[in-house]
Amino acid sequence: MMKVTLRNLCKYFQQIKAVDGLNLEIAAGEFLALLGPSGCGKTTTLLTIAGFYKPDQGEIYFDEQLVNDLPPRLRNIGMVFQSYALYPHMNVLDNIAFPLKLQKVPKSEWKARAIEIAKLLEIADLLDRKPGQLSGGQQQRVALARALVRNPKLLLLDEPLSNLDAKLRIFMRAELKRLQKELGITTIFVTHDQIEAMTMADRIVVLREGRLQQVGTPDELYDSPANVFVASFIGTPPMNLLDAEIEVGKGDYRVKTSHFSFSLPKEIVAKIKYIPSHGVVLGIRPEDLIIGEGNIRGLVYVVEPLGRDELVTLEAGDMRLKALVPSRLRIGLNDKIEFSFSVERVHLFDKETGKSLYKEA
Amino acid sequence: MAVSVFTGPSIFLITLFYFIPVLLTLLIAFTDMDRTLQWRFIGLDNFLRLFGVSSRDPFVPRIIRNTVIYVAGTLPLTIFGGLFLSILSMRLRRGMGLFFRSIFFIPRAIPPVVWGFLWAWSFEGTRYGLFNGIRSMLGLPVIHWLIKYPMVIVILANGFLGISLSMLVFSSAIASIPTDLTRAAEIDGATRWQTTRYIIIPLLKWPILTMTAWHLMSFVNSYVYIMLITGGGPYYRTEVWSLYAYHTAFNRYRYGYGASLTTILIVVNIVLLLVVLRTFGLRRMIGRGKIEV
Ligand SMILES: Nc1ncnc2c1ncn2[C@@H]1O[C@H](COP(=O)(O)OP(=O)(O)OP(=O)(O)O)[C@@H](O)[C@H]1O
Ligand SMILES: [Mg+2]
Repeated sequence: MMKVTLRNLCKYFQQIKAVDGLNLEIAAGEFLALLGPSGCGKTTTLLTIAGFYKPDQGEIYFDEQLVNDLPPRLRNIGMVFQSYALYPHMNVLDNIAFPLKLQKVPKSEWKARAIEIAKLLEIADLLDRKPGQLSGGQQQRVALARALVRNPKLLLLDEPLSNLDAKLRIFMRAELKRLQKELGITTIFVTHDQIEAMTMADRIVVLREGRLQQVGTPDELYDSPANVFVASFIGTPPMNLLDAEIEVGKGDYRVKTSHFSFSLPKEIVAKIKYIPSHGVVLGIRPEDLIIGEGNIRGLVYVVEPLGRDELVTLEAGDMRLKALVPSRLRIGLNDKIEFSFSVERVHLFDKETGKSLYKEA
Repeated sequence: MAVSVFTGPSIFLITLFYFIPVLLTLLIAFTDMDRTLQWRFIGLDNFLRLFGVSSRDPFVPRIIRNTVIYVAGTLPLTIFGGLFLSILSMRLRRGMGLFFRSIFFIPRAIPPVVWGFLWAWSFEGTRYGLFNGIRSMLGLPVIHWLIKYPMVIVILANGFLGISLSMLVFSSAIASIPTDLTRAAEIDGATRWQTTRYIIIPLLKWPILTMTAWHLMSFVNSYVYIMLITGGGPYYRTEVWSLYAYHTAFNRYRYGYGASLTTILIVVNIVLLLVVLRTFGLRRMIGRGKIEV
């Protein structure tokens, strides 16, 4: 078990700031997800931690040891690449055992250890096959077995589930989470899929254009997003974001949109750091909308059944809002309805900077 | 129909310039045609002489030995030299590597005669030769390179030509190996040498086999540079089979015997070609991608 510390980590490709001033502490045994849209610098971060890229600035520590200049082969890291990168000319057994053979482990021992890890990952019956003869899911397990076989201190996973079909992905999500806890290896997991990050990780790091947006547990990110980007990125369906203004009256804070207005409850007012003069963004999660009661009028624009729930898109003035409601409500297209929302659960962001107006918890 | 319109001319040309000469050679091999250009069929006499059955040709064993030494020298030089240099050049920075590879491609870009004379001049036995010129400037006596080491020089001259092609082929094959593979090896604990040995070289299996087959056949038949550098001498020391056939036919005007020597070469070529095609499988050789990924 090893702690990893990133201090002001920067990696540039000419003008592109792929990683820009990343500060992060990854606890021993933690399962950390690096989450962000395509091109935000996730792979670059991982490759820099692995030692393939030299940081242009900043430091990487493994426990207390500065490893900036340590070559990848001496870092004792296991890594699963986005492409799996299995050696095409070796069979599964030789692929898995490759790290051990390089360490000159005697044959009887490397064989036993490779078979042991293959059994753990349920690929023991594939040992004679070449990578070209395996399905995506099998290749992924072989890659994982190869990464784990020499008991690395740190495991780096670059979108290991993205090449799998939906069903297998959900299955492997659980398997991987379980395996990580069982082995207790500090793990950094890269993904652009927020559900994957939410379901698997102890903590999530949200990146955008090489910059850290927020770090926290899945709940923290969901309940108190630090900015508009995180708010819109985390959660399915995504949060409704509406332009609004705050009017300060005598002891009363009123939020006004183009279609409705409401007073902020005391507990929210207490959280607000400041009131920006140039307007705010109001965020309401789809599940916080209440349909059928309230004083806002709207029209049902479209209904998308999701089984247990329905996703209802409402038109209200010039706004569109998504609401997640129980299916039994039986809402029809173009129904005129009234709705409201849980005012104590709204989010407010500075319109200019996108940052949350709430004090950090 | 449309296909034959396009392939027709080339089939005609191939017949005219390839099959007809081969057929003529095969026919002439059974004559004792000389400078009078008379067709007089003498049955298997030429071949009997060649194989030492009757009135044997005293040079044949020596020519065979020369040919074997020549091929055994040039082929490994081409393959291992090309492999070594391509791996080395791929490790250099991009611009440097490109520069390095371009230098090694020069022999292929200049006319054969120039390349041949460059070597002949470099190893010239008087102080007008390049290396002897340098030696005499340093006050050292001249060395008669082409008399002392004719085979080595001939092998080097042809080996460098081989390297310039094999290096290009190997370099482009290395460039097409996904970076993830070599990175995976590195993270698994491999040193550069181990990555080269266990990942890169095995992935170059097909380019290596192709280049080996190609150069094997090319070296068995080659004589141009030997003719330009040593002319086969001194006294038959670098006379290989195809050069011997050439000399027999065009210097001594013994077309019949020369044609029988060439016939043997054609047979050797066909056998080699069959062996190559068998080991590779024709379809794999011309239809497959460069590297096995
Ligand atoms: N070797 C490189 N040379 C130049 N630019 C690069 C290189 N690698 C990455 N980049 C750039 O750096 C940025 C971050 O790339 P990176 O591969 O880290 O993104 P990512 O978050 O892994 O994206 P994805 O989800 O698509 O894999 C991108 O703008 C990319 O174009
Ligand atoms: Mg990536």
